[in-house]
Amino acid sequence: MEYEAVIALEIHAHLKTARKQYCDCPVVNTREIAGANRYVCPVCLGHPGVLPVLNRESVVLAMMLGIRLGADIARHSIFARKHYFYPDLPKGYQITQYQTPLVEGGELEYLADGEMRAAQLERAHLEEDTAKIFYQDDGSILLDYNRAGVPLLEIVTKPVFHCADEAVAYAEELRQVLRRLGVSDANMEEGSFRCEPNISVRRAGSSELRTKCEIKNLNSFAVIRKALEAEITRQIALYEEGSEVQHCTLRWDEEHAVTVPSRIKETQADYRYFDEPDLPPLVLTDDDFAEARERYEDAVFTLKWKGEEQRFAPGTAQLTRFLLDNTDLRESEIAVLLDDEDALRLLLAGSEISGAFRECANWVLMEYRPRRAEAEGYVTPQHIADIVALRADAKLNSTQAKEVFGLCFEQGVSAAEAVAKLGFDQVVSDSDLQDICSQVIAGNEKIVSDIRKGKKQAVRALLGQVMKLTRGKAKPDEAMAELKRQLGK
Amino acid sequence: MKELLTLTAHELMAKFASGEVAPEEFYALQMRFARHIEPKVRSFLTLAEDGIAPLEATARDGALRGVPVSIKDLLTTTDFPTTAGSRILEGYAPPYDATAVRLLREAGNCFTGKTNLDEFGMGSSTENSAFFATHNPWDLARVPGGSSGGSAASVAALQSVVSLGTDTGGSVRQPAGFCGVVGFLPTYGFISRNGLIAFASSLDHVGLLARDVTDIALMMNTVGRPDRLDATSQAPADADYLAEMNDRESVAGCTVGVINQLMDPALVSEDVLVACEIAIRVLENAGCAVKRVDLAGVERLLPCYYILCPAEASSNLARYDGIRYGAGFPADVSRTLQEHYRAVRSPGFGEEVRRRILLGTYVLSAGYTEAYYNQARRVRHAIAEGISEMFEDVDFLFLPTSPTTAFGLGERIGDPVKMYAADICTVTANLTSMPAISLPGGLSAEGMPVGIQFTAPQKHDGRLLALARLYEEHAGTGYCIPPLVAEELAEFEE
Amino acid sequence: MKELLDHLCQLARLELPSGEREEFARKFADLVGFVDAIKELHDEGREVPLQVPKERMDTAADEPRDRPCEGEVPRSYAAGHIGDLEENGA
Repeated sequence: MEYEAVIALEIHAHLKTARKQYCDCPVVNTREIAGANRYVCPVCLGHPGVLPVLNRESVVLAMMLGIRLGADIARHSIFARKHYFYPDLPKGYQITQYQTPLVEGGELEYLADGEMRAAQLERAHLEEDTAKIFYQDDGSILLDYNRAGVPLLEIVTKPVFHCADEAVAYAEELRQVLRRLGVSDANMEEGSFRCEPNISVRRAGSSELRTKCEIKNLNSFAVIRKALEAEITRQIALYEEGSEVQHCTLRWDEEHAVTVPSRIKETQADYRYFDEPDLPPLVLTDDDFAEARERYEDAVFTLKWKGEEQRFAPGTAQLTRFLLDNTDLRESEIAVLLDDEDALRLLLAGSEISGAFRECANWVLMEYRPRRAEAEGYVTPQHIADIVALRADAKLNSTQAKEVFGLCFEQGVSAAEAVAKLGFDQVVSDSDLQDICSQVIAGNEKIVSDIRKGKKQAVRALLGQVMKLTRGKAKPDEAMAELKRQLGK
Repeated sequence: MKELLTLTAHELMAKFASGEVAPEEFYALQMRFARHIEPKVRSFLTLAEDGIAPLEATARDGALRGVPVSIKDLLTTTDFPTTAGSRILEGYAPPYDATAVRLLREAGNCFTGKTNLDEFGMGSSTENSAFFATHNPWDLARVPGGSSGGSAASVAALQSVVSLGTDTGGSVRQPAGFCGVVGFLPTYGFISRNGLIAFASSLDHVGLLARDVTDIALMMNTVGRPDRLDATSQAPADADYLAEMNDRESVAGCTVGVINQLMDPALVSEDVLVACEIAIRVLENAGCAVKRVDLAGVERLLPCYYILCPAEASSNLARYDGIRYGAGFPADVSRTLQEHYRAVRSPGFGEEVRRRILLGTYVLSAGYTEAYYNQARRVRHAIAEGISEMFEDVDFLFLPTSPTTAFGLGERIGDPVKMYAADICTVTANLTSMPAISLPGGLSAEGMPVGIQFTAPQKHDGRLLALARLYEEHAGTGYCIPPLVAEELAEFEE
Repeated sequence: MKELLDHLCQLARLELPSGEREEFARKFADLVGFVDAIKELHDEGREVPLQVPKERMDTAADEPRDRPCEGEVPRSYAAGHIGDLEENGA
């Protein structure tokens, strides 16, 4: 029997704000217990009598994501309390949005297996993060409330993924979108991007939704992939043997490479939601929409392609697809460039002037980037175009061209100036070449006699000397031809 | 000088202004008398130490500079422990002042101490305090009302001039009625809830107690201000409640609706009805038109209130787990978390609080929310609409503050439902966010104060104070000193 | 009623001392009966109306305080083993 997986992703992203969600504390990510509890106040500690006041910036950031996803943004939304007891939850409830998410619906395109897919979203809403727990060796815990109250956006998809690869590809694209919009740093290691899949399986071709399980505490894309695949296997195995899948929360056991249930009570969580009495409704104004749209536009990526302007929504999928369709860049090269806007723009502008995309790409990827990693300097699109042209016209050989590039990079001189400075504009005349070849032949009797004995390859050594004597300015193929001509005599 | 203890705040301010007495002197006198009578009344959980000098006024014109205020122990104060009347916060020292407290401080008030209350505001007699009960200064064997019983008693017993209380279902007005002082519930959001230890957030108000209406207006001018720390704050930034109170024009020829269902002899005792009828006549003589009106669904008021307020209470009290403050803090790490919760929460909360938490959890839990909580929300809305409709015909509403006068200590404490019945005349204002005021309406045949109540449409606080002032002038039944207190005062040696 | 109370106690992390349970359950049942009056209405299924009188919230600007911490609060918080607690989280 064939099975297919049905996966939905729930992602929590820290919003990139300066202040916490409901109080005036600064947002600071602390990694160790030594820095704990410095950025706290009675509000985020849940003291008696405190009240929440919502940070407007998190609303605008959420709206920007909503615009990117083409989602509905609720002009009027309310907040709710979600109750449970856990030591990292100061008030014993979390202020979230239940009945009315700020953002609803929407879609995100992503690339999986070279194909463009679209993931439908359920919703995105505003929440607050909990404190950080540091587990001690003796089983006790220490709590760091620096993180309590940090603004979160919970982004939930519909159950639209049917394999681990799709889910991971979507998550990677969402992460890129959030970063490029400036909505979130979306860093998995730092905890500002947390991914919790819900997964069930069913007979391939059916449309039923069977019992799902959720997996928590997945801290890298690789682990997400492994955990999903393992869970799919586990659920299929259960169905095959005639058992049922029980709803549960799982975590990934790296050592045994399986998903295992977290210790959990049988009763389902009863969150006892009701609308937050301490917060009147959030009502968005035209100014709010204008600001969100303006900041969204700032993040849209525009480029000139063959004279026409092209616009790409913040993210990588659309631009990747475009480059795959219109250039011969490989996916790995595109990935590098998309992570390096400076290099990408240099390439695009350079190739607009030059027209020789592949050659420009090679220069940017293999000469510009490594140099820039090591030293100060820059090149302009014109430099790229000029050097590419010089090579195309065979005015420079490969080594010479790299030297020219280097000089441009370090000193900022134009390509032509660099060529002159390096003396590469001096062409070796035919008669000079003849003389030098004769010189070299005359001065290397042993090598010449080897050649005459049949060791044809030895002519390279003579060529090397010719190149040396002409300070690299001779054209290797011309020099080789001349040497052979003279030797043939 | 001890006669000065009977003055209202505005009278006292005049004495300060004329130089007849210095604020520091008066404050010292106030504290001495407060301590003198305290063993009988037991209004306070914490009394101020001697020698705290009134602060220089930093805000406005120091409208209440030097006036001694008592603060219900449900509002946070940095210089007094704040217990909410509960063992679970025994010894808790708040790291911040409630906004209303801060405003009073900045206006130059001095605090006499933190007054006793029903635990977390849950109760109508102050008998649910985890520490001790407060006694009604009119009859020490009776309750002062609740939950702001200590506040009301402290004002009635001349231990403070004014008091800051809280009112979720009548907790300022009912004790004011029982103790013969004025109790005021402003429109929701007119006094900041920042620092008000939450019981039922959508019903909680900071309220004011004083010996006359002018003092209430003065206090409103100090504490009735917008607050950026309270998202539900909706106070007008520059209202002048004293001016509005004095604006007779605003109440000239007004109509007052008397709510028939709350004047029903089946519900309300005869003493109270007699006082109400007298009050109605006072209104007519003062030039108001009086009309009888009907409030539909009176039988749903208490079930509605007693679903919504425990629901929110169960939520607001979830934070008391001893992990960050209060009883059980710092947590004993050798216990598991479950053991810790068990050791902290159940012993920390009294019986009534536990009862309301469980009832609240019940009405919010899966499977019951629709039938109870959501229903109560719809009923609340329907009641509010009913009230709005009534205000199309009348300018104000009149009703008793409480169905009876103060009952005996111990009389109702064993029967929660009977205790809840005391709230029937007061919960409507909280459910509908309308301002309300309880005024002394004379004494019963047994010599106990009867409270009468006026309410006005939302945001008409100034006009309500004007009506109250008008009534007060014409009624001649304002605050008078309880006989017991008069005796104590006579004996008191300065 | 006993089972219901046990369930509610678990949800609310409360414990009723065994001596008091009977009495408590009785009073609790009275209370439930008292509030049952709310059920007599027939408008279930309608939307739940909002109850905050203020129509819209005022939000705060994204400007943190200068001082990292507000008020005199302890800087160290610990608890014992989490044990069998349901691992919830947002």
